[in-house]
Amino acid sequence: MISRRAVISGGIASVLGAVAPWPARASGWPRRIVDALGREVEIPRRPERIVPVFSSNTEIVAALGAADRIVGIDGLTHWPPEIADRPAIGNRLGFSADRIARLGADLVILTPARHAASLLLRPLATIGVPAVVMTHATVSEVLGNIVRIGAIIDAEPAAGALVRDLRRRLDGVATRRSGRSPMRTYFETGANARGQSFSVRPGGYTDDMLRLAGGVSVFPELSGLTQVGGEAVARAEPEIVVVAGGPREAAMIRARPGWDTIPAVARGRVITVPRGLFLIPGPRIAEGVELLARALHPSAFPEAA
Amino acid sequence: MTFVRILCAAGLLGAALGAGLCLGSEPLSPGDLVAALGGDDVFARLLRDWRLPRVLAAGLIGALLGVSGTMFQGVFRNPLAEPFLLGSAPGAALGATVAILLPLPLPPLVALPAFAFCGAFGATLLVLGLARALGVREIAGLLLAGVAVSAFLAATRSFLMLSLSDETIGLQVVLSWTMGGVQTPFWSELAGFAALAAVGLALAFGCAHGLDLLGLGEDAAVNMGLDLRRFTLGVLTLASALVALAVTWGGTIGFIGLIVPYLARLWGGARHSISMPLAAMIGAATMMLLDGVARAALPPAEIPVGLLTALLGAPFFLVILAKWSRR
Repeated sequence: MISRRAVISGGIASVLGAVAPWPARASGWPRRIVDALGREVEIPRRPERIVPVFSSNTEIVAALGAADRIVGIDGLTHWPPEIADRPAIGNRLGFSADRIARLGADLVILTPARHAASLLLRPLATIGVPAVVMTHATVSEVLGNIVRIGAIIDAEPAAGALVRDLRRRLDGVATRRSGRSPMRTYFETGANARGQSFSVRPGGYTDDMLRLAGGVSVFPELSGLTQVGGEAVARAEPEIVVVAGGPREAAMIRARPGWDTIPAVARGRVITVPRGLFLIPGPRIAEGVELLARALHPSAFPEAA
Repeated sequence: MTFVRILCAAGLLGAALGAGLCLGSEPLSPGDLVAALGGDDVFARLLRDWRLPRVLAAGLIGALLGVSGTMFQGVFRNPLAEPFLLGSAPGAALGATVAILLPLPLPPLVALPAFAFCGAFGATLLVLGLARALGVREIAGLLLAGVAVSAFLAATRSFLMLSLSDETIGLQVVLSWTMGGVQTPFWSELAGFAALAAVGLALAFGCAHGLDLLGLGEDAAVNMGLDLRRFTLGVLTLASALVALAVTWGGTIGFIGLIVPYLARLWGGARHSISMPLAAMIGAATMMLLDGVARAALPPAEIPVGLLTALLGAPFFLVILAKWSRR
């Protein structure tokens, strides 16, 4: 049996493993790439009218200096501020190939969530708008997505610089907290008014971020369903509770019946982290890791205190 | 007079086609539409290769539902008979669910209509058989048997959806069938759909004379040489096939088979040789228009057209019920 510590340190090594420079530095047009679904997509010329669907893809395109080439976004995307007024091509009820066509898009970057892929890929293929699908299972894949998007929107230098910067910051956090044992954490990614609460999914990018910041989820065996109850949290004896959200979410934790008997909650060890930093697999993940590392291991970051 | 009616209906059809093409998340004016269709940009391609096949598919679905509704109402000699209420549409949806969710050694384009037909026909026979076994003679009893069978079929379908769908596309596809939404076919798929629909509709129009005889009453029809049992079974089989074909591309869209035959009779009279083609054209026009509204109502998303037809159709059903009960 492998000890938990060995699994954790192995996981961190894989998180910071090499980002495949994919596709190999393309220079001319058209460019052909194979996306996360294994589809080969041809991009005939430099995209000038980009529709990134979902916040993560939008944030990456904007962070690569191409915010002015974004012509449409998902209705639930609000960051960065300079793109918030772009027309919405979808919302909770679905997505519109119609509106993407009206915007004259020449590149759509999407993620297979909320049925975006099943609703959009067929019409976009029919009308000849290249659509590239990204997935983001791990932090490593998120960094890879920055390189990939850089290649298809003709922003390779910016992508290389951004990935180097993010990796330098993540490495910096790892160096600062090295030698400290990981903080046993209940990381709550969401809750609803019916009293259900959800833990971070093991092996996902948010879980990677938690480990990079020097924490470890108290629910490493969850798969599929990530709903957990108060009893399970109490039994798992977390040293700290991290809630993705704001003061309202933290107050909800304390108000739940019985949760005051969880030692971490009773001792006031409940902190919140912004949802945008931890639940959007984009360029702000390093900021999230730095923030959480300072909260989990304050003594490693004396200047921040 | 007949010619004028058909001409008017054809005009209505053309107008609905135009409206269907104009409606979308950002509606076009007719002038914009003509200008856009001639272009060579992405939006022109969307109009020609995505929206046009969709509008035509909606039209075929409407024609099939309108004509099958006319056939059901002719056989039962009652304006309240409707594929959705007599179990055939829920049966088709169950068949389609099985075809989508179970691994079958058949291509989907064959399995889906075949299973939908088995479901539609089986459910109709079940409703009729139950009604007969229970000694029900009134249409009200038949509709109630339909309600019971529909509830049973819907529960079975929900169970299959819960137990067989995985995290991939299964559940979403089945849900879109349940709520009724026109699928967009490729041109090649539309050609196959249209060919099948044309054969089905032609066969249906061939039943017009028999339905006219039946309209005179069962005894009169038999006296005039109609093989009642065979004819009824034939019409129900054919109507189930039309419903199954419509469900394959549109899911369970209720009440079109109720409203459209009523309007066709109101306009064209009782003779089926006139009311059936009219029902096909009115049904096509109605569905093209409603599908357009479904695409344009809540941009940038679209709402399932089955919700619209139910919102419009349920009150309509009550109006017909009120008229019929005051007879």
